[in-house]
Amino acid sequence: MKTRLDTLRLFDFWRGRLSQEETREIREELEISPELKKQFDADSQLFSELRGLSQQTYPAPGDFSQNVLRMARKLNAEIDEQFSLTRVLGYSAACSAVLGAALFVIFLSPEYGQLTLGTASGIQTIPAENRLSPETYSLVLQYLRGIYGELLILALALAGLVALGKRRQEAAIILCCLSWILLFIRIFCTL
Amino acid sequence: MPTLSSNVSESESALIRAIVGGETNRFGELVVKYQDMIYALIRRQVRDPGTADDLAQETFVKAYQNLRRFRQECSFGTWLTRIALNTTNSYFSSRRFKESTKHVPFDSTRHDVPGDSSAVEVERSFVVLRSLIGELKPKYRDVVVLCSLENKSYEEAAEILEVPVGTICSRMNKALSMLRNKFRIISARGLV
Repeated sequence: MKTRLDTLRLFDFWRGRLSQEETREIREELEISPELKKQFDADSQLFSELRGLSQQTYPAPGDFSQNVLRMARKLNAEIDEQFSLTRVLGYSAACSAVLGAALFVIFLSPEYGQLTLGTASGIQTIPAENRLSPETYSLVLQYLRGIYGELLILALALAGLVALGKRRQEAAIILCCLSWILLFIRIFCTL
Repeated sequence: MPTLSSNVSESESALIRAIVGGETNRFGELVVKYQDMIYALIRRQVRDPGTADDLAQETFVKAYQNLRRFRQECSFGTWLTRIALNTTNSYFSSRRFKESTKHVPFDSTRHDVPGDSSAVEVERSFVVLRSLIGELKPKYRDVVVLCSLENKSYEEAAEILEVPVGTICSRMNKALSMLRNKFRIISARGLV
């Protein structure tokens, strides 16, 4: 009986799960060892509590399945809603990335010089009271007009798509909006 | 009550495929089939029927959410039992459970079940045992729940917990020893 599975063997003996041979062995041990018998009697109270609890029947509440289905439907609706938002964000980020890339290509094209000339004359038409300080405005324009502008738009849009892929919708919304804002500035203020 | 056969039956497999394929309303058929088994498994560990109801619902909702990932390598009942055990273990390690037992000594838990019917009397006698089982580490609690409260064989428990039968036996032995020691202390204080 002095194995490392002592308690388990006593438990299995108590609930009649041992073979005849093992049962006989333990009976003999209990007869010759008063100490073991005392331990077994003490443990029997725990064993009988365990059996009592295992024999309790607990049927699920009557409205259980309806409640589960209600929760599942709610979950479905949330998933659909999330899916719609994800789709809109995905298209939006993709469009932004495509437009950013298109501007990038324009920047690299031989005709780009003409576009920037047009931009330069356009700046002069903006009323003075609507402008930022001339230095800041021209600095911002310089950056946005250059290759960094397109790269930034492209990077933001792609980061938005990555965030979407990682199911971080809030980050995706922010990145997507930023890319669109920059895209609008790039198109309407610098061309 | 459904049993945990090692393979998914043909009809159950078809039902699961139909649910995954879009017939989500048919999930109710699985719920009805397994609700008593899962509710009882949780209720035997958790004193409060409302909490048991919440945890059982959570179990089914998790199963519903992850049904696409169920590869049918074991029976649905086995998979669901794993989810139920994990859900209950999370509850036992949650602040919600710790707060609920923080200021409740054993001697007062004997009298915290309202009503006076015989069923309530029986429930009172299990308050201490449930508390002791709840104090066990998850790996020991799981085997006690499966092998003694749910009367699963060691082989079935090994399949559910995905460990060898020998591990189940040694964990069960250790869990029983821990329960026995705690139970003796409680008994000596006359609280059982």
